[in-house]
Amino acid sequence: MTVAAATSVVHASGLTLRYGRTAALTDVSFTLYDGVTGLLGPNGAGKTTLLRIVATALPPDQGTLSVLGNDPRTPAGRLAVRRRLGYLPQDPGFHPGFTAFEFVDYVAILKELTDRRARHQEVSRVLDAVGLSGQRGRRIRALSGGMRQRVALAAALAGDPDLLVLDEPTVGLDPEQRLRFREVIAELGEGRSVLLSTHQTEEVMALCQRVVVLDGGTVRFEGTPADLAAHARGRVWTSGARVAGALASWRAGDGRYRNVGDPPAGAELLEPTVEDGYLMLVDTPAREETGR
Amino acid sequence: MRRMSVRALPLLVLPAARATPWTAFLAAAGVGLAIVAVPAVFRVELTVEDLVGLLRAAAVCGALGLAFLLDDPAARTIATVPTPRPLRYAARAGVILPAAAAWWALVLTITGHGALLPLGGVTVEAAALGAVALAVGAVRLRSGDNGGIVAAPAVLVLVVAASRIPPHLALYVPPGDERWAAAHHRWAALLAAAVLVSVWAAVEPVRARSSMMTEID
Ligand SMILES: Nc1ncnc2c1ncn2[C@@H]1O[C@H](COP(=O)(O)OP(=O)(O)OP(=O)(O)O)[C@@H](O)[C@H]1O
Ligand SMILES: [Mg+2]
Repeated sequence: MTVAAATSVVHASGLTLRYGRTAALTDVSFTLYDGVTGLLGPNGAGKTTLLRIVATALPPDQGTLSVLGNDPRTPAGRLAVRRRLGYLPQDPGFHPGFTAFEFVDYVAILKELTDRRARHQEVSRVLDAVGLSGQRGRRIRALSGGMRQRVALAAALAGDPDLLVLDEPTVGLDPEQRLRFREVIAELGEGRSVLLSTHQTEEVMALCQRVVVLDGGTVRFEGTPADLAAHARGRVWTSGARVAGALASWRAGDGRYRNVGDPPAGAELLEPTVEDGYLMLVDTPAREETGR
Repeated sequence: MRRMSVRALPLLVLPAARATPWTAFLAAAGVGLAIVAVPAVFRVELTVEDLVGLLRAAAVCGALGLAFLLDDPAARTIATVPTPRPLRYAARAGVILPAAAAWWALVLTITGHGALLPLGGVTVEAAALGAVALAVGAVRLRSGDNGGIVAAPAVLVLVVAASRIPPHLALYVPPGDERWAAAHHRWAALLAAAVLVSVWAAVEPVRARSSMMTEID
């Protein structure tokens, strides 16, 4: 369960953040190591808020945070973090009149790549990494939504950061680009750190060494994908008909029903997936509360 | 370390010029020019007071155009780059403030009658309005995406309020009035305050306001 000899890249303790009356995060603590960590959670769980805090875009109301060995609550610490960080926001914005190349080049200048030749090489490299070499001269206003997402991803990758914070990076990407993204991220995860939020449990399976599950602004789980799946061990079974009392019950490709919840005696149990574990974790207390 | 960021400044000017929302500025500047150009073209005889009124109206247009200067659709994408926000704003200001100054010089030239008009005082008024527009925009951008949609109405509110201030504190006084100098001290104070607020708003806070309050408590 513990990653042997892994170095902690981000350490958060007691992070709390309110937007007016909404408590977005309450006492969130977690540790991030080298490699790829997935952040799962329902809509409104606080994923974007947490990623913004880690990426120094938003200071927390309370709690302590160390990112790459620096304290972002001091100007010098924050600058040191930003020099080694790539951040992809959930809803990135652009200058629509810039070409893809010009925009990433602009971000690269802001990332202090002042040498023109080296910078242009780097911009070409990251555009290639996201499969946009052929579109580099097109204006962003003429690019599709998925292509824009890749422009923003390229901007995050520029400068070869030690820590990448990616908020739903694969939203809008076609399957081929999704696979390509996995390759890029998996490669980056070797020796560096990636924290990404997603709603796709199969992405977590495919990419992440660790998972953090956030729900209602608190951490519900921190561990490996296998541990998360194990949460549903003995709670996933197959049946010939739909089960009314299950957390979820759906007809799988083989025509039989796959059920998650409390199995009846003698049920034919199945090996749980990350999705099953996530479902058990996030759905259970809500059900118990409505039952009360 | 800090030199790195400052060195990025000249590199930023060109992208900043292209990223600047020129449309709002050009539209407002065009209206401002038209206000002073129409009487000039048709050789309408105007009093000094009328001419100052036209310049004041043009200044309001200029300020409305400046209100959108700092708006940046890419703000979220570049929120965590190491180049500090004040430097990014400075790159933009370095592009648009010369443009605004040139526009104002053109407005004064078209208006003519330079020898008769209190150009210095009217220019201070125009600068103060422009600075207020920038300051409100910058404050708004600390917590949101669009500064201009708040800053532009704020300029109009200021202008309406300024025209209703009790006489002994008036901002808009007719040329030749004995309160002219005192009023323009107030305009200059407004200008200075707006510049200070802009600079304060440009700097990104490292701590949340609530945590600063808890620490002071
Ligand atoms: N700017 C804001 N002002 C007020 N409330 C906000 C703001 N941003 C987020 N919230 C609230 O904070 C909570 C957490 O939001 P957040 O965006 O972090 O969730 P999320 O996990 O990223 O959701 P999603 O999966 O939909 O992206 C939600 O209840 C949301 O309504
Ligand atoms: Mg989100």
